[in-house]
Amino acid sequence: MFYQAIKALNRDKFLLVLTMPVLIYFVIFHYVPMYGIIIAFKQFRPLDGILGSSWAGVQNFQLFFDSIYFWRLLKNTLLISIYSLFWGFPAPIIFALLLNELKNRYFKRMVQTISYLPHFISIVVIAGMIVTFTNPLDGIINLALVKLGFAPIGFLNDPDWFRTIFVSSGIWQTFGWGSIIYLAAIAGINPQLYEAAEIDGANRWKKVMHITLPSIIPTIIILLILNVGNLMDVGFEKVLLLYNPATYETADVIGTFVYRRGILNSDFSFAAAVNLFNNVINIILLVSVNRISRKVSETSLW
Amino acid sequence: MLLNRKWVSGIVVCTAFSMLLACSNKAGSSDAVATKEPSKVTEGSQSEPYKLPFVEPGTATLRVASGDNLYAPNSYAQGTAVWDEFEKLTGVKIEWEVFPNSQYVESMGVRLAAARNLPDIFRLVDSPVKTASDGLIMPLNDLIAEHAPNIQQLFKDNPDMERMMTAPDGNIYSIHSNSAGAYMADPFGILIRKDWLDELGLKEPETLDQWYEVLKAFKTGDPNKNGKPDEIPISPEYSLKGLGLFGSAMGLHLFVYSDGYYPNKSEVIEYHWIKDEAKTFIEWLNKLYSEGLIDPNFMNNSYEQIDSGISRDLIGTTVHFVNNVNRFNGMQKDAGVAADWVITNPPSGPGHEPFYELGAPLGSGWAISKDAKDPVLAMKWLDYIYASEAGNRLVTFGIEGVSYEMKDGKPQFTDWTSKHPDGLSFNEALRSLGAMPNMPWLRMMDGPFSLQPQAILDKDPALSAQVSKVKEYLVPSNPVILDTPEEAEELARLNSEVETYVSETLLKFVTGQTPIDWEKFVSTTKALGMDRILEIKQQKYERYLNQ
Repeated sequence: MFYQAIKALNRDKFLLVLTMPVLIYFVIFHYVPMYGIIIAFKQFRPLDGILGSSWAGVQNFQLFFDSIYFWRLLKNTLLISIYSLFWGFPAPIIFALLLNELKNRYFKRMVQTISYLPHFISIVVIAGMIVTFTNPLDGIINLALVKLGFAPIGFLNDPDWFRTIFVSSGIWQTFGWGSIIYLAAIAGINPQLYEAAEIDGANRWKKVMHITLPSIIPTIIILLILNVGNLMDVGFEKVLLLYNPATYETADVIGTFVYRRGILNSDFSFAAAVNLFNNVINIILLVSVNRISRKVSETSLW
Repeated sequence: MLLNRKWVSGIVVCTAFSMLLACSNKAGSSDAVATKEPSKVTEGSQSEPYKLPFVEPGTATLRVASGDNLYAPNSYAQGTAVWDEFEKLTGVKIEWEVFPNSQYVESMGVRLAAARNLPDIFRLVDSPVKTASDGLIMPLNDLIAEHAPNIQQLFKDNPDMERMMTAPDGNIYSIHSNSAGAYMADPFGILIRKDWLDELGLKEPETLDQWYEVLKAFKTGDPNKNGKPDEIPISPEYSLKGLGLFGSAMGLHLFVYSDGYYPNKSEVIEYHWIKDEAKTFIEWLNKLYSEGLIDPNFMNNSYEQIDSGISRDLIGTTVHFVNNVNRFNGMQKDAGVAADWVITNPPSGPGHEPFYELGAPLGSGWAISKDAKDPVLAMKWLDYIYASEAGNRLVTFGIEGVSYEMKDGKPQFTDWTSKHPDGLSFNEALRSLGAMPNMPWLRMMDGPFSLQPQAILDKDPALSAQVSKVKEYLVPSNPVILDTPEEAEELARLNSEVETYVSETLLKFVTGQTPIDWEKFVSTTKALGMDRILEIKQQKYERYLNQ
């Protein structure tokens, strides 16, 4: 046993050296700092440091669960995430399938490049654009509404509109970029499959449904699992830039609440506790979706 | 900025228990000093006045962290005339560790959380009591008593200032800018287009009914004469709290300065947003909003958006510091409109004295960190830049012969400052020299440190007249009193829920998203802990009165 291990090490020594930098990176920057999580169970006091601060048990968690806004925050966070996933997840897949059917190479390239572009705009600028476009007085959307004979809408002041604005702008920003990975998967499909289908008399629609789509299913499932594992992480910066007290009802998420309570008031223990709570839920979701997927489709992360 | 200061009062992580614990096992550290019976600074033995320069030039360095110069092109780090002069006078080289202002609280907050390698002197990002209980700064009482003759004199002349800087445990942990004089010379009020009033044949509104008539006329009378009803009669900053200035008509202190908390005649702190008068006020705002008289975007308004509305000749009324009338007029002139912005008298109503509030006199605080290598030198240096007459002259008036000159023994600003050759504004011109700094400095209501605000007005008689017009209405806001760590923790916990509920519910009332159910609003606010908040505030207020 021991002898075999030595032998394996000896055989793979160059491969091991090659993986070292990445391993070391993860250990130093991702695993070592994890010990800081313990401040979630402490009353963090900077002078005493992370290890020296006194223990507080689950008091920080208690404070969060006791808040009258706890359920609303949880609901808002999950709903924004679920809507984003529901509407946003299929968009790049459909886009990639459509793009793949384009025959003109130059037109295809152009569409692809244009659809990537919003991905590179910083979230602050995106939020600024949304605010400008939806301004009830002179935003372009409202000007169009007025011209069409409707009353202008205060999109960002109305809780009913917040999720729609948030999710649709998110889709607009990310669908082009998100389609890259599907296009890569499509490019890897064996062309012989298409040739065989053509001989059998399949039309384009049939080919998409019976060859392209099934071939990228594993990619889709892996990405879906990863996305579900991030369900509790809403793009908090974007919420912060777009919300205001009038829309708290649908817009206030766990991240923004922690920002107001934890960071602005330098209550780092509280912020760490809430974040830990978030991550535990994420892990539970990730593991359960992975398990379901393994059972049902035999594709899974591990 | 105004809102931030309210937020900063902050949660306290450390309980008294852990503080005692830290003290017992760390004798000799700065914590141990904190438990000593604090001595009242002004009762301490008079110190020997120090001599300039403090050290042989170039032999000592102080590391100072703060927000950078508000005139961004001239960073403190690259040297400014005023601070070069301080280096020359004191012999102490300043090593600036500056951040852009908008990032200061977050960036410095993270550095303080690491608690290592802190600068000698830094601007607080939180309440001094919390920062002290985190063990990051040292009490200054003994240092002031022994090495800061000017600060002692300042406290002797202004006992209120010492009271406000003293923490509940009797220590002074930080020294604070005082802007009382500046607020006096530049009140925050309601600004209106006088030329629109004249155009429509209206006189300046006083009561809320008259205000309604005027705003209605702005909306329907097409005062900007473009044939479209695109005027925004009122567009405030600070959302509902900005509109709170109109609460003057009902004796309500709703603006961000007091933030709804104010002592009544028998010295009991009340919360004004839940008073019966506030209901009438909210109904009035609801009427205005539903008729399109308030900017439909007012809850998201930033001053950039208001500026843009003003330069496009759309906005009839806004709220701001009165000195902005010049800026607004200038912006509109650039856009080809001869506008005439003026400050109005505060709205009045039966049975109430109309008022505008003055901001809290004390601003940001600066403290000496536990890592300071030479706290005595740091104290002397702070004393000189903050409370000596020569130091105050430099930070308020800038450089003699450039930004000011002496006339009849009094400093007066030059035309270089008021009509800067490169077109800088008054404040920008001074800041380009490093004056009006992001450091502790004094603009008092009276005494030797009160000259600057008046000197600025002297250069602008028209503005001066507007300031005099509202001077009699200025009242102090609810005093800002330092919390004990326990108070801070409880207030922060209760406030985060009450604040969320109140701002959200009232906005919905005003915009008509939910019908006004006042009884439920008041009872919920109380159920969320308003009674306890008032109890704590009352306890603080009484401590302040008896100090």
